[in-house]
Amino acid sequence: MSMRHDVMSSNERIYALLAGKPIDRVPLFPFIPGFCARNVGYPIATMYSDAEKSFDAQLKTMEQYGFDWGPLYGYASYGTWEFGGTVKMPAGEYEQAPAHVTFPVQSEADVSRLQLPDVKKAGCLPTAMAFSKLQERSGMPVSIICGGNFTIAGNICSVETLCRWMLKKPDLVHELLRLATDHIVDIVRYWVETFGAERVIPQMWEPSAANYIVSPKQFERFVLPYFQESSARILDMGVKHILYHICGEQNANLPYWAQIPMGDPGLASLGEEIDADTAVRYFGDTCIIIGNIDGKVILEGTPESLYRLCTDTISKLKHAPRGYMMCSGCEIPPNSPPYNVYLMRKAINDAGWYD
Amino acid sequence: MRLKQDRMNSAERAKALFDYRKPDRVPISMIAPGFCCRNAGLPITVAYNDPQNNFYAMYWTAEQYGWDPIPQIVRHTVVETLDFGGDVRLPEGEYEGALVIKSFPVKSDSDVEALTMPDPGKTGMIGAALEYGRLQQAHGLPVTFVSRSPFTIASNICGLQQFCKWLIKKPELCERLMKVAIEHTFNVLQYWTDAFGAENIFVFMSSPSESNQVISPKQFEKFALPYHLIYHERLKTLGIKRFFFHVCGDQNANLPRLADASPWEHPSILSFGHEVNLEAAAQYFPKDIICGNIEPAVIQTGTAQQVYELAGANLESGKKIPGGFILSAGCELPIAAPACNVFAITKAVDDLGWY
Repeated sequence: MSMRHDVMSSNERIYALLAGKPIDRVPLFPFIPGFCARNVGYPIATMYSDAEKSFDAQLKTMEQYGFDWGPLYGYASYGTWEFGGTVKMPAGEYEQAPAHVTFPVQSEADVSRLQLPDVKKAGCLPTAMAFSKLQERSGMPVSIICGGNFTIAGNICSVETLCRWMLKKPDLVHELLRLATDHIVDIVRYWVETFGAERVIPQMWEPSAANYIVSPKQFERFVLPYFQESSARILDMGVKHILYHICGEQNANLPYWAQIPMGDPGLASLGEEIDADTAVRYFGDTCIIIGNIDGKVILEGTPESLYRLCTDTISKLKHAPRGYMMCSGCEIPPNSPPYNVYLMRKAINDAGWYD
Repeated sequence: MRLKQDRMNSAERAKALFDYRKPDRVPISMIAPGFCCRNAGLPITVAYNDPQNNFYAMYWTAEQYGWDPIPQIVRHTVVETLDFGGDVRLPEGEYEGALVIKSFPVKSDSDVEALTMPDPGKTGMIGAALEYGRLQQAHGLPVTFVSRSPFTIASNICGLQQFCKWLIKKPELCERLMKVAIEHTFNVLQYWTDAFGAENIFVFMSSPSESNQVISPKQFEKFALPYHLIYHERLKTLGIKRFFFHVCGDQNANLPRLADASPWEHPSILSFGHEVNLEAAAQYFPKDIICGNIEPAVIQTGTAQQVYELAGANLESGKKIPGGFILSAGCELPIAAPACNVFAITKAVDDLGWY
């Protein structure tokens, strides 16, 4: 009750930002499903297995803490289930998202047997579609979240195998990336046909291409061409914006990321490993920058350190040429103290106004 | 987060209440030392052994949820079992929310006579509570002195079961224990007035052992009530004017007798469990500020919507109370209450609690 009153509603703020118009304050972008479950008292698995409860929990949590944009459905192990493997829903105190159990590809021979999934029936996609219908009804951006092309390929055969094959059997990697790319385009087409290109903002989360895993040369050879292709095909459908979550340490990949079309403006979501100046240098002219508050600080930092990190980040990115949305560098840890999440919004209240 | 802006701060709101004027909105007050620690990412033990972190956890949480520290209700100053030589341990694990008694100081008839008065300067957790009080004073808050009613303190010296048996078979032992209890309380309170000044102290008392789930109204009148009279005579002698009484649990059958006596300064804050009808409470105590009484079990296990509706019903009754009203849980806020449910109370005040 002590915060300054917003001038715009969340939807007004988001759509103005996407349209390149002025906004009242820095938006707070959500990357937060597990925390929402904890915040309302649900098991985390509910966020991935029950579209209605997931949407409701996120909506309530976002209202409470002042997040913008709206609820999102997706997880980083996307692809395993959809291509015929199995995942398990998170359980226990520490698991925070669905995890692989068996990969659809376990041998070289399995690759040639793979088929493109039916996007109306495969894996989590029926739940994702039910979730998007709730997004549509609420007037918020309709998202479909899938892994980036490389991450889906890794989720089909395991990242270890994918890395080995990049060195020893690159043809198999290209085969998997071809399938992943076509699958992404198929999904987005299904969403566009259902909701219209104007409403759909696809999100591609790409953790497996981080430089903890691949070199920039491997990125250029295996990741970049497929991203360029899927992005171009998605934008050709009339989609205006694509969000890429450039997850983890990807500094060495950034020159290549900057060559991937993301729409006008694109949406570049960055991990805490990428500093503000670098973000603006690579994406400032083409993308709204999203990020990149360190999740560890949100989980374990003192309120003072988190508040300072947020206000410093706001001051560096608030005037990014195409705009800025504050967000965690990756998913907000589900066990984060509620007060720390509140502090992110408080930092925007204190440092994020545009007047 | 789109909450209306307050027109009064907490101190102004409290002053209005004590002047029998309407504040801008219904204030919110919570007994929540454990919840605040969880909310700020700290272990529950901090509520009992770390005044500095506990203070800030409560201070921040009050800001986050728009609570009013009228007064800030903190951990107990007098921890009777410990003060008199019993064994108490800190809460452990996921579910324990407060101190746990391992052994009572009085185990037999003869132990009652052998009891000696604790030295407030050296006893139990009084030093930590004193440090907490200094932080309150440094932040311009009233210094809270927290103890239970003499009847409840006495029952915590020998154990409630034993005490109830003695009420019937050896009432003289109960009388002796209650005399010891009130002496100890005022010894510590004297220590508090020396340290902070009587005019800065807000005395909080709770009386769970007097509930009709434990004793009859006749037993209340015979054993508990006389000590309330003595208590308030002595409080007046010390010059302390501010009093908050949490009439814990189902005390419906005690209320007529308590109302006839009502020995405290008016207005005081009288807080009731969810078992008591707020309008009935207001009729019994027309010169006092009524505080209550959302059922804590619903806050912990209900949905946000249920909590919101319950808070709304409380507000509808409470706003009509001529002596003034504070919205609160019916007892301590459960430590595992989902943050969203706690926020539902704030939201209810924002939607329905303005005057």
